[in-house]
Amino acid sequence: MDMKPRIYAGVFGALATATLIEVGIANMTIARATLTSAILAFASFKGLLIAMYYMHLRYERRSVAAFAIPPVILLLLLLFAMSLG
Amino acid sequence: MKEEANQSSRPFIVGLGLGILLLGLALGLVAYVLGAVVLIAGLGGWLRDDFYGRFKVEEEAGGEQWPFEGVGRVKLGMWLFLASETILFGVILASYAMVRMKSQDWPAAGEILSISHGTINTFILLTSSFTLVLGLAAIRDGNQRGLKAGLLLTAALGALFLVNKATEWSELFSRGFTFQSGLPGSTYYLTTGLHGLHVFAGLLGLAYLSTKAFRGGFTAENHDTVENFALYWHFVDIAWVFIFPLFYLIA
Repeated sequence: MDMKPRIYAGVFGALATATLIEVGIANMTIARATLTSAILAFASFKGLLIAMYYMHLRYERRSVAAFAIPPVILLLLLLFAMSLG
Repeated sequence: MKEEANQSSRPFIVGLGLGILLLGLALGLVAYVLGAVVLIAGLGGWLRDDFYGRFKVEEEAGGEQWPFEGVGRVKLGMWLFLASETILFGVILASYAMVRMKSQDWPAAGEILSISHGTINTFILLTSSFTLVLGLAAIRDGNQRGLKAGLLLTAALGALFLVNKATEWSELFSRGFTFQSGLPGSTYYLTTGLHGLHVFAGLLGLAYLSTKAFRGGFTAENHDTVENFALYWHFVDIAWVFIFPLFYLIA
């Protein structure tokens, strides 16, 4: 497992930058749908960075990474069910 | 190693305590108290066993582990737990999103919730993840001081997060934004309250790990507890990474 503090620092820099961009986007006057999509894209990018590098998912077996799949499927089903209501 | 080292009644006691505690929802206070006592006794015993190194399990070399070869049992358990946590936070955030989409009038970003409070807390949690991962990297190299510094800094940042959150809640209360302030109020307090509870539980974990670290309980070869706890802490960070924009930034 590649655990170099330099890599962690780089990831931290990316997370901090993405947060600043998110806040910057929130202060822009753009269409709500565009703003929401852009901000959620940055949030997903941050979540992925943390999972991949800080939680070392990048270096784990794929079967461990597969743990993330069932909750996402359940959530999509739930969202679908709620949208029907 | 003794053969009994593989066997522990603690997980069963913890499960039993949690079960009785939840039965308290239907049965009332007595079951609550009994469940809490059993749960605390189980958890306390479990931590004591871990603290004194009584619960060292060696993976069976010849055992069938597909498809998780090389992944420790406890780590696998932690990932399973985090999958259930993903559903918990996912359900809450998804229902918030649904309520939000169907509401005609919702306060604009920055109108009630302070973006600066949210941003500061985001930086605090991101930094705490960074310090924890540095502590883990340190103990992998056998650096005890690095681990202790990492754990203490992470705990300090976690506490700072809660202080900032409490200040924010108090300011909101004083401005009349409470649990009763309709859907914006109830969704906000439920989500950030649940997240805050997770941070608090993480602080208890950090207190335990720090105590053990200061007694020299972790080495380059034996630091799985730190690694597995770190998974939990980073997950709590990820949850906030989504809570922050959904509640504070999207108008």
